[in-house]
Amino acid sequence: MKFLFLLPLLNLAGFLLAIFFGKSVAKGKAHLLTVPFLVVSVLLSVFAFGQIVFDNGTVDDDGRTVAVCSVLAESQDATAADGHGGGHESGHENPCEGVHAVSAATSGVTSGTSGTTDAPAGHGSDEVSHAAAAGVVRLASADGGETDVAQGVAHEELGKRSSHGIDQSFEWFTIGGTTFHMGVHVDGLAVVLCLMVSVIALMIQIYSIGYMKGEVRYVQFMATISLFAGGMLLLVLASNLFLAIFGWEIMGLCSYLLIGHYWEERENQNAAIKAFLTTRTGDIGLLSGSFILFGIAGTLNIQELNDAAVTGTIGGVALTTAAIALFIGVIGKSAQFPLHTWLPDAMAGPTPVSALIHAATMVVAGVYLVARLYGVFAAGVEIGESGVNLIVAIGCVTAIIAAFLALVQWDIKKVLAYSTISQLGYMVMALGAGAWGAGVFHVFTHAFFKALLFLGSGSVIHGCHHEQDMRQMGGLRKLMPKTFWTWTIGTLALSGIIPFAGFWSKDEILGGAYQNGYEIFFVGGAIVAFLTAFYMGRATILTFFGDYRGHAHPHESPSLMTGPLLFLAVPSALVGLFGTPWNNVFLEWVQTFTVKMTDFALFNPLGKVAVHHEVETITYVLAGVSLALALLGLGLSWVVFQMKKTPGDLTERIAALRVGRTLLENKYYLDDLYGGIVYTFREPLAKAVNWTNKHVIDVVLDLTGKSMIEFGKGTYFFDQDLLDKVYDGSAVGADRGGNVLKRMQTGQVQQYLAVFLAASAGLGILLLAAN
Amino acid sequence: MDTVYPLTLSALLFGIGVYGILARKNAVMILASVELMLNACNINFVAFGAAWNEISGQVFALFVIAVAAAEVGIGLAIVLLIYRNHVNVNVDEIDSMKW
Repeated sequence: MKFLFLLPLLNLAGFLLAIFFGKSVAKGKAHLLTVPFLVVSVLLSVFAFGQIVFDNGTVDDDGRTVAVCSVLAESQDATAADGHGGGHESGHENPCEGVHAVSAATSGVTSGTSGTTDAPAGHGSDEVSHAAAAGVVRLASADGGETDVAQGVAHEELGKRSSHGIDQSFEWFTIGGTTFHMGVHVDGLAVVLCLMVSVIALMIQIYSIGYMKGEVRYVQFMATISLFAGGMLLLVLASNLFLAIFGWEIMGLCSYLLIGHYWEERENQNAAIKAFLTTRTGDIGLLSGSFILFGIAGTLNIQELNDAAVTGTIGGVALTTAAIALFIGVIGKSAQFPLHTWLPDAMAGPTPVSALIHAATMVVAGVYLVARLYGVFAAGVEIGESGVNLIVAIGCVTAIIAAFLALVQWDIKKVLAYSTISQLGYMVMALGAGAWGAGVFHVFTHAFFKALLFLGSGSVIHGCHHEQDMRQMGGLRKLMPKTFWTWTIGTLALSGIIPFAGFWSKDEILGGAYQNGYEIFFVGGAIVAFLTAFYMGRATILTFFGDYRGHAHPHESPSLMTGPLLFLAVPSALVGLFGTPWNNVFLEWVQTFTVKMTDFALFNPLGKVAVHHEVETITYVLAGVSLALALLGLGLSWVVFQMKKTPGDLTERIAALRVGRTLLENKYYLDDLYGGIVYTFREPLAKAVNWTNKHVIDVVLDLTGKSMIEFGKGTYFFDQDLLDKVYDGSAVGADRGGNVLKRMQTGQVQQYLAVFLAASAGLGILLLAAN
Repeated sequence: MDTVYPLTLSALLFGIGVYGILARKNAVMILASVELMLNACNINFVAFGAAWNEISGQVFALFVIAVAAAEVGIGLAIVLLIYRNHVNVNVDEIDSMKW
């Protein structure tokens, strides 16, 4: 786990190698420069994951998380030194403890670390001694002396907040008295996400070797995909918001580059620009949110921010504003309503890119940010306090509208794109409803089966010679058996059919929403579950069943492409089993070393909420409901699209349906709305700008120009009439003087000598006279 | 022996040399006057060397003689070349170093 910080660096190295040497060293084999780095990344992640699963994550009797804190030497020195004495009282010479105490101190009060000694700081040192006194050092683990297992016992009021994970950082720069650190924070959540990102990125790269073979700019493609994964890993591991924004923006850039990969076509350029600008719109929110947080908390360290938010050190309107601003960033990045319009257009990129964007990186970044900064969001929008809040509402709306949109798409990738938006809405809804574990779990499972589905659709498109319209497909079941079967697994997982991955996570979300008092959103989620199954059934039937309707000659894709499909099918089918309601080991993994996020949600700074979360019969009832809905959706799609029981012109005959269909086909007119806003304001804006240009800017410029000319004239006079005279005069004087003095040089050596002797004699006489 | 005698001789010789350099127009004669001045110096060296019982005075005189030989060799060569170019060796007419 200590080497996880290498992950972003490795991928960056892959990117640099490929971009600089890809063409010269390995012509057409740029993947040789990037894939090895990803393989190493995967191995590191797997290793770290193994540590999470086997070494730690055990929960002791009191249900408190046992955590490892491996401490870097520097952080020992730096932080243990001003540990307020609390850490040392207990007499153990364990570095873990000192830092543990300090982390509690920083968590208790952020102001304490900034050196103020007023009332809240005093309160903080109380907390420190409390936490440290309660801290019991456990015996070392298999890792030897450096890592120790410490039982983190936190402040009682805060519930089961445990020790922090691995923090590795170095000072980056100091500005305005604040030192920024560049560092990683490794805990269960980060490790699980790292594993997911690197495995999927590796699969996508391998797949791309086949899919992108012989395509233009192959080298750049491979390099950028590497950088993309690196950016995501950087975001996942970043210990402070500042570094996280770096990763966030790297992904923004890479998505722009990759969506516009085939930039020869105007359409693709536009899609790339749209994606970039839309996410940037959200990024304004992200940046303002970060600034506000920095302003009120004085730090950008994610853990400290969370702790400060939960303990109530920061709060009030400022925190709410910050949370909402940050959430706007999330809306942009994770394609939530109303900024979701870029994601379907992002299908302009090559299919592996779509898979990468939709499954493991980019859109997940927003959700991850919410999960990572959960304390801030939970306290900021008051999750768990009332039946509705901003996050859960946006999530639910997104999930429903996107699911409807997916119903009317003919492009196989667009179906998946809207499906992604819908599922992202699910995740956001789960986080907003306080079901933190469920949200993260859905991120995890969704990544696998959505990557599988996208790569499957890529395989279909590849096999059908770049045909994306499902009306031109059909009957591919027999022609592309491997693609069909893996696609089916992905579809079942996405639809939430037991026992595939999606069932468990979706069920957990629905259960969480219901149990935490968000019944309305449970209903919304259930509708989405039904719609999901329906549109996935539709897509599957249109693509793989019936007779072939196109004109190409479909063929199965090469094994470089089907290999990753087969590989991804396994986790798509099975990872859900880690998160079963009766044994949710996944929740334990992601919460290793980290503050217990579920408690964050249920913990209220004001101490109002207490929500139970034991397994109840209701869970199974809800699971049954969602499963029934999913089966119903699949069945209905079979009836409608395969057996064609309903008249095909149903939408034509019933006015309400027709209106609905038109509305959907025009994507709720959102694109038109945004376009309209731009068009409406364009004319007056242009005029106003023109006027300002002419009457304000031009005048200023004019004045500046004129005064510059006058100034120039003055300078010219000074130059020509004064300075030059001086220089000229000195030259003339030198000339005249030379003419006079040169006569001394007669060429008569005897004259020189006479002068010399006379002078010598004179000097001699002077010397004598002086003596 | 009183040191004043050789010094007086040396001063006389030096004066004659200076006069020769300033007054004579023939370049060869000027060179000869330079030799006179050099030898006046030699007499001084030897005289003081004898007066203070220092061997270095005589050693220095030998060096001066060697340098004077070299100098007069080069000087005569220059005079010869001047004669070839100007057909005379009158220093008043040789003013090619004039401005």
